[in-house]
Amino acid sequence: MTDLSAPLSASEISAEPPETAGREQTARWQDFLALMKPRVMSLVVFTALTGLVCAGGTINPIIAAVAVFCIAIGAGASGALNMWYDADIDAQMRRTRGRPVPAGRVQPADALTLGVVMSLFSVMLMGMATNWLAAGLLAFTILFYALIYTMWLKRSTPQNIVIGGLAGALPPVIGWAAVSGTTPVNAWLLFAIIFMWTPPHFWALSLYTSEDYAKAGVPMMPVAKGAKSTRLQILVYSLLLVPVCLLPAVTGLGGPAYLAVSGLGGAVFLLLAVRLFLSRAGDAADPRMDAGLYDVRAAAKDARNLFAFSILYLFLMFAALLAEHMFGIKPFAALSFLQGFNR
Amino acid sequence: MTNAPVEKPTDAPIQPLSAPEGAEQAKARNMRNIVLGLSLVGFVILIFVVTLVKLGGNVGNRPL
Repeated sequence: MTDLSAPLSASEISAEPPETAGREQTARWQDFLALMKPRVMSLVVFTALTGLVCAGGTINPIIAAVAVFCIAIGAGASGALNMWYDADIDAQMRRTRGRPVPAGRVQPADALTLGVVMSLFSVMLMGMATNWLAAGLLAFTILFYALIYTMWLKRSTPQNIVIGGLAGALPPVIGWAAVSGTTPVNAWLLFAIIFMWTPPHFWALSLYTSEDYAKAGVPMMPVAKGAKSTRLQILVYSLLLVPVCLLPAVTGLGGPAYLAVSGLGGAVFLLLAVRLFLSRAGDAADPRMDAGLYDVRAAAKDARNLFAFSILYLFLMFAALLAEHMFGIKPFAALSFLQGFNR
Repeated sequence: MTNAPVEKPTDAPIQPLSAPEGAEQAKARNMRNIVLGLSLVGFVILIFVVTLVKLGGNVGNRPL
């Protein structure tokens, strides 16, 4: 469950390190809540809810709420395990050095305990309340994010967020499995949308935060391969993303509202990706490039624009699917010639 | 009975093992405990409700 929505806030990018860094302080209950990355949890809840509603089966509303709650707690547990393991990296980056562990407000062992206990709680409750397929997928997601992404990929390869994005893309599949006990093609289509969306989203962010990543020794794409290569890969992934986003209209998962949102939004996404490709975003932090200050400042805006719009695009597509299934809007009969993908 | 010498009390102040807890720290600890307590109560209620929903009418239909 990757940090899919982590825009820089004013408080997070203060130039000075926290005065209290490295000093043991008293933890407030809000610090333990912060360990669970509530902003990431909110996006996970939204995508999981969409999968749950799109499954279309019958489920007791209380059990449905418990399923979404379990996925949220599982995402939070992943966040706590991530903050425990990455405290050394977090302490070196402006965006993350105010987090509870590097700031010294929460002891690393306490963050680890919270992550492990919440992981066990969420998986066991999911299994008892819904089914063990959903619980197994949730357990896999937590383990993949904590062990494969956090402890291995993040520090070893520029493809870290591509492969690690698998964990962030699974919540709608878990939601679907919680209702139906199966994971049909349409559930994996929701997975594919988030999976393909993650690289351009994250690399746009890393283009204007690459200095921090370089300082912390994290081989993000702009650090390892350079800004120019990153901009090209963002464009390639964007070209692949938009057709994948249109597929639900063909398989009968999405209706007219979804088609309009994914089509128009996809066009804007591509436009922003092309503008970013033609810009010099990230060149300032790239020792391979000789960039003029004005060009770089102007280009950072292109990276920020794509990053911000990517969040809106994903939100609008899932909101359209959610609304269509809640209000019973039928898909286009002429377009949805690939039926039967809901089973 | 042993004749171990009894230590005489001294006037030297007792050194605390750790720094005294300030009012702010005590308040933070109290709030943590309250939130932890409420979380435990919530956990019990959650398991109880899930059990009721899962069992449903089967409780009444069980063989006696």
